[in-house]
Amino acid sequence: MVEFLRNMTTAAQRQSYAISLSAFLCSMLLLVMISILMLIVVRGAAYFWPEPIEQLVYTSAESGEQKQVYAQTSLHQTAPHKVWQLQYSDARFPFGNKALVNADVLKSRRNAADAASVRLHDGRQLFARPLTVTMPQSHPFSAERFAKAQQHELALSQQIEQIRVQELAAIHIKLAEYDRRNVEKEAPAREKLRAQFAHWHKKILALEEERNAYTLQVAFANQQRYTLPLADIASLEFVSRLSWMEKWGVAFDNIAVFLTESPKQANTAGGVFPALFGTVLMVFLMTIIVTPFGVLAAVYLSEYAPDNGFTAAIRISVSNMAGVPSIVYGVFGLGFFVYTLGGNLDALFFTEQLPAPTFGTPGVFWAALTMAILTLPVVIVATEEGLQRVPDGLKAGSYALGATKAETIMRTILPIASPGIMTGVILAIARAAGEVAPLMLVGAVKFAPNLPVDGEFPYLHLERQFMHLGVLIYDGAFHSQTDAKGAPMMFAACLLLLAVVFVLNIVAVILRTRLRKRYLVG
Amino acid sequence: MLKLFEHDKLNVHELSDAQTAIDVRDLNLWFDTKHVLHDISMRIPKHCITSLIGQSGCGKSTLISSFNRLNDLHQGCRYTGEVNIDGHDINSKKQNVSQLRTRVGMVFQRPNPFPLSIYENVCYGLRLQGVRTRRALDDAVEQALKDAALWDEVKDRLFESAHILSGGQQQRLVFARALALKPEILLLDEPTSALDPLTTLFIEELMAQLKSRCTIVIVTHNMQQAARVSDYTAFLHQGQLIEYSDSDTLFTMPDKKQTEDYITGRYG
Repeated sequence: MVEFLRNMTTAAQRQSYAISLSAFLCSMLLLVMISILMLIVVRGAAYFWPEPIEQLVYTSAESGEQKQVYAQTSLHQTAPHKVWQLQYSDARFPFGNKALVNADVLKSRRNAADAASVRLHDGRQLFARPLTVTMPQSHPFSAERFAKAQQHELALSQQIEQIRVQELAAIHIKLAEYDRRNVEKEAPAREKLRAQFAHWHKKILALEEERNAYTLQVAFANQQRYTLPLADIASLEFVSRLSWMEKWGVAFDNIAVFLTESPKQANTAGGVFPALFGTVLMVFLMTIIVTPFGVLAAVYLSEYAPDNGFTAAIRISVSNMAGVPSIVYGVFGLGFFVYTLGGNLDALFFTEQLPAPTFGTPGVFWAALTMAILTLPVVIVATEEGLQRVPDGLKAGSYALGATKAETIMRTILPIASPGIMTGVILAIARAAGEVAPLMLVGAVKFAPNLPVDGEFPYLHLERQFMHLGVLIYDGAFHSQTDAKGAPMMFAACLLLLAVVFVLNIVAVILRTRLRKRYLVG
Repeated sequence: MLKLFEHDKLNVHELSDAQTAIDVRDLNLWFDTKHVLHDISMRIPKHCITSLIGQSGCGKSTLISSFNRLNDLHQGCRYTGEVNIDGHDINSKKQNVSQLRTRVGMVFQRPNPFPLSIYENVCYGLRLQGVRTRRALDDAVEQALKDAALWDEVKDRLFESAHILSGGQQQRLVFARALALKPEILLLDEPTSALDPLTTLFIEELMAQLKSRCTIVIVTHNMQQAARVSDYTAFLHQGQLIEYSDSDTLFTMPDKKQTEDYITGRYG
């Protein structure tokens, strides 16, 4: 074949073939990258964009009966014949079910302007036509009435919450104190508290009953009725009536919810704030740990270490460390940091809490430390490259002015090498933000009840477990296949993860460019 | 030999200790196994300009670098013999090298300002010396820049980056940087080879002015320059000091055939 090509073509032709081939492969690569990005952006953005609700009539494949539903539709496949995917609500599945419908059994399809998308506080969603608002008298539905009823209901909920937090909590604390002091069961103080408790509890029950009178009655497409307590409803939106601008408003609201709220329904609804926060905190801690270590190691290797075989061996090992599979670091972190280091810390400083571990369990600090070790080679290699690029003339100039080696490094070499250091840190951040496998061993969890930062002393709780966007995606993508809302949310989380890495990179690149300009040599 | 003209030059081979700035005795220097300097012995007179000439790679730069021990930066550099400055052997272990380098300033072939402001470039050495007061720094910077004849050109932009200066200005800035430390000896390693003729002239004038304040040792490839600016000239060849005398004598009546060949351009 090679022989044939050589005989049949001129040198110029061969060259043009080579150019075409490399250009082709390069464009394929570009295409793949664009497709990945497009897929994530489109599917992720779809999570936020309000889809219109349609009223459909079709023949069900299971029962053969004609069905009428409110649904959001999307094209599932086009060949060999059109199939629509429906996400619909009916009396049997009020909070959504999925169905695939062939285009040929679809009888009619029209925009349902009177149907609303009702979203509950727990993340579930239902499509139906609102009929009456009960507050506690029933009225035909109107937006103003609904808002008013919601206001009343909110006031009641706040009252209940206030009693719970202020009165009942105080009583519980006092009772617990009596328990600790072994106060008799029949002591008058207890009786008094119990009476108080009963009083407040009764009040709460009364308020709840009052609140439960506030309801919204809706009808599905087949006229079946369904009643929702107003207290459960988070939002009600006539999606099909929205103008383009209003849709943007809803999308922004959705994005805000996504960024600021906790996950609901086993990470398939709600927001991802704890995961976003956990990711950024972990990366931040890792950067604080890895930068001084990496830079000092690189300074030693490049400036102080004798130029011999041992140094060369260290340098090669450092480069090789960058290629070690990340799960190995995870296992190392679990075995060494968590069990050995954390276990000893517990034995030394937190003996009163044993056998419940404090640091001897996966946590955000161990995760940051593990990721620091994982990214250390990247920082060392990049910093060393930056250090080697410092011109010898400048070093000599500094020495000639009476600077010692340390002074020269601090005042001349490190500032000039700082863009190189930044490059290393950028690469480390990008790697750490995207890593999943080792994190699952050393501290990232599917759901963490508390953030690692809160108002409780010492404010930053390094021993707590945390949520991570990568782990959230892994979890959601594998365990929520059946759920209608789960998969789009994972795409949205992917989009967010990309955005986080992108923003971190952009910040670092800007910083690096400024440093480069400032310490331009030559 | 007939004296063609009278001159007041000292005989470099009969300098008294008081007249000597640098006293080199039997200096040998190796880079790893390469013997770079062979038994150099010479006395460099105070408050004069002494130039070192010779082919590339003959050890001129290495020789002046051994006056402020800058050769220490190279791994595998060994030396024997003495270099006495003010009666102390700077090659001894007891010598504080940083302190030595503040007394023996150096300017390199390529202008190498630090990527800092003009002001910070000049105070670099002073800050290392622990000078902190703003007033003292301001005064020193102004004086050093005036000494280097750069003050008028940069006084309005002291806090801008040194890289906005032209090559000649940068080289004068490097002079100012060295002069800010008020060195006794100034080593110049081909200071004008990267500059245009006019700037070269400027720097040569600068050297003549600085002579009263410090001893200057200059390495140059430019024979005319050596003849023009220097009081004494040493010719090195392959690491050996071939001839060393006052410039007039060396360039007009060289003793050695090698010297004559070199200055008349018959080498190679």
